[in-house]
Parts: sequence; structure tokens; C-alpha cells
Amino acid sequence: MSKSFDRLSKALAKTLGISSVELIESFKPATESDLEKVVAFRKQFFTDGLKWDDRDYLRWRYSFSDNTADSHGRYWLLKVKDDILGTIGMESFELVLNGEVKQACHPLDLMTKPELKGVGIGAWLNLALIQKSPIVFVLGSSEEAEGLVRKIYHPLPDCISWKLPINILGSLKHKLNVPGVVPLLAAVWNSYSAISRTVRFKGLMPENAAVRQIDRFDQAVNQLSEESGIAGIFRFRSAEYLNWRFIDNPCTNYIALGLYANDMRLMAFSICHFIYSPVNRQQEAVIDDIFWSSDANNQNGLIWAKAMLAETVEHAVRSDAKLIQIAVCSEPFSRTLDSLGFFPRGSGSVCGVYAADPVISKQVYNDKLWFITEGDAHGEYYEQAIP
Amino acid sequence: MQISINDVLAMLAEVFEESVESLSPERKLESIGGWDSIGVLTLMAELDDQYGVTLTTEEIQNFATIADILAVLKNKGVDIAE
Repeated sequence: MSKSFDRLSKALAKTLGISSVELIESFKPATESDLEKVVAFRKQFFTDGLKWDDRDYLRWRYSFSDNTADSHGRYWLLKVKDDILGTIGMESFELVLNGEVKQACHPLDLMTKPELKGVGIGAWLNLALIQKSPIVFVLGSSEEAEGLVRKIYHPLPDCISWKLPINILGSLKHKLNVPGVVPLLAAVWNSYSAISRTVRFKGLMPENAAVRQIDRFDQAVNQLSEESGIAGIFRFRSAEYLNWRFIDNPCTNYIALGLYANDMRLMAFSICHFIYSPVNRQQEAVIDDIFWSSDANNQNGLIWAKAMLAETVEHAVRSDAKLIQIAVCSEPFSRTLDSLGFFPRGSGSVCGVYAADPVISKQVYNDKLWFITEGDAHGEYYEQAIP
Repeated sequence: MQISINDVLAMLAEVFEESVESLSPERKLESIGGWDSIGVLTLMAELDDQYGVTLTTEEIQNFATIADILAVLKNKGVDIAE
């Protein structure tokens, strides 16, 4: 890859009218002095505006100083002669790889100067980034991003989106233009759905267990992550990470729920948020993350996963969600979703991973071991939050 | 050194991971699966290595068919037999 990267860098540099050395040296993490220029550059891509201040997002997501001790990542710029040609964010995170914690990164915020669209800068930024981290995990949601993921990274199974309709009136109104029949059809289906949920969810909650909303995560979640029932490869969920990613997120309001055993030990948690669907004209819930502990009697802990999922659904229903959705890449958990009445609604994001070290790549390229949720992506930019 | 159109098509087939038989000067680049960001970058490197040709950003952005690539190569002094 390195030799190939040098060759591609040489060609791109020539097209841009600079030397390879200049090109490589022009790829640097943004600093405080770049911030206003970065905001102006990004504004070109958000023509409909944003529901939040992009500066708040950038300062929350990235460090703009070289003191990266508490940083969740840097925002890399390809800046030639003070002109930003492209950007790529590099979120740093801890990946649990068969019981060991490894440093990894996740590229996001890939943007290329519109005047240079189509000349390969996006691909080069990805290639430049993977030179800088031992493990790079990526999710692509646009067609172009998916192509890049499939070519540069080892493809992982797609994150599958699942949905659980609670009230189908809005979606039927959108799909069928038969005003007299739609409310009747919806009422019949909604009644069936409610009964089905009652039957499927019955007895899932372990005896003496309780659910509580979590305002801020504490050390209990670190222990849960260490004793996770998810064997394989997943992002380590520390209290510090979860508070940063969800509770302190400047773009979206998330709700975190915890499932506690009778000794008040945290056994599972879920995180969701609500969106307004302009198509179906209704409130919908997105379950962004779910995580559970193993248990002495249930090694994979799916008993906690099922109970947590059922409680999250009930919470969403009480909050007037007409549809509940979740995207996940995990074979065992997909079976759980199926058993609780969720329907697969097709592929969500395309996932991929790259590791230069052959020992690590052999481990991370094991497709069946990954556990990926919506929380591993960053969909905040692409959805409409409830006004 | 004179090269043939088939030599260029063979090179493009390798770059875009397509069969050489499926490529012709009339073929639209947007119909080629490999014509994407990484494909463009690989093409730039291949043209530089094989023919010493550096593409400009405008040339790349104006490519619509394989014939356009052939035309740019000819304009830049690559001797391609008709």
C-alpha cells in the first residue's frame, strides 16, 4: 500500500502542480487558526443550512490543538498555499479485538473542494489517512463513499437497518391514496402489532430488574464494557466516550436508558433519539446504540439484550414514536431483532476496515465477529431533528 | 514509439478492472464501474508512468468517453496509431 500510495501521490501532486513532498506536507491536522477557514469551506456543502452551529460541532468532534491527550480526533486538511482542497476527520477510538483493546480510527467529514471534484482527492485523503493509524474502520452511506469503502478497505457485512412499525397510519397515507380504507387498515394492523408486541415481550424482563434513564454515564459502564456479552470486535464503550458521543453531543438530543439487576448492577444500556419523518409526517425513534453484559448464567447475555431492547421500544412507544428503527451489524443480535418482531428494511451503511499489520488484519478481517451499531456512524448531519 | 488504440484500451482495462473487450473509444466513462475517485487516481498514475503524461484537473473533469482520454494523450504527444 505504501509504494502504491507514493505512486498515486506523485501523480496527484503533478496534476495539482506541486511536488509529492509538498503534497504530503500539505496534509496536516487543522489548528485553531484554521477554524474560520474550515467553517467557510464546509458551508459550501451545507446549502440548506444546519440546525446547529458548525463551530460547536467541530470543536466538540475534533481537537484543534496539538495537545491531544483528551482528544477524540483531529480534522485533517489538505491545504495548499492557504487554499483548502479537501478535508477528512479522523475520530480516534478504542477497539476491543478479541478481548484486547487496540487504538483505531474512523474517517468522517470527507469533503473535496467543488472545483476539484472528480480528480481523486477523496480517494487520496482516505489513502493518506490509513498511513496514520494501525486500524481504520469506515462506514460509507453515499454511493461515492460506498465505492471508496469497497475498493480501499476490507469490506465487512453491511449494517442492516431494521424497523418496528407501531402505528402505520402515516406510512399508509403516504403509500395508498384510498382515504376511506387507510384508517381502517391501519387500525387493524396497529391492533395486531400491539398484541404481537405484548406476546413477544412478555416475560423478557428478568425478575427484580429495573430500567432507569441515565443522565450521565459513570464507571459502571466501563465494567459493563469489560464484561460484555458481545464476544468479538467492537468499540469499547467507556463512560467518557459515551458522555462525549451522546450526552454532550451538540447536534442531537439522545436518551440513554440503563437496565439494572436487583443488586443495582448495570447490565445493559441503550441510547435512542427521535426524528420527525417529513415523508410519513410522524415522530420516529432511532435506537443508536445498545450494549449488554455477559451473565454467569447467560454467557452471551442476550437475555439482557432482549430485555433492554423491549424496554427501549416501550419507552419509544410511550414517547409517541410511530416507527422504531435500528441499524446493526451482528448476526446474533439480528436474530434477536427478528424474534422481537423487527423487519429488515435493507442495507444501511457499507462498512469496511483496513489494517496494515498482517497479524492485526487477519483478526479484524473476520467478518462474523464485528458488532457495529448506528452509534458507530455519525448520522447527525443527514437527518432532520424534531423542531 | 507508436502505440495502438488497443494498447491504451488494455491499460484502461487493467486500471478500471474491466475486460478489454468491453472497452471501446465510444464507451462512456460513467458506465464503467471503476471510473471513480480511486480509478481516476490510478489512471493519473498509470498515464504518468507509461507515457509521461500529466493530466490537468480540467482535462480529467471534461472526460466523458474513452475517446476523450485518447484525444488528450494524442494532444500531449503520445503517438497512437489510428
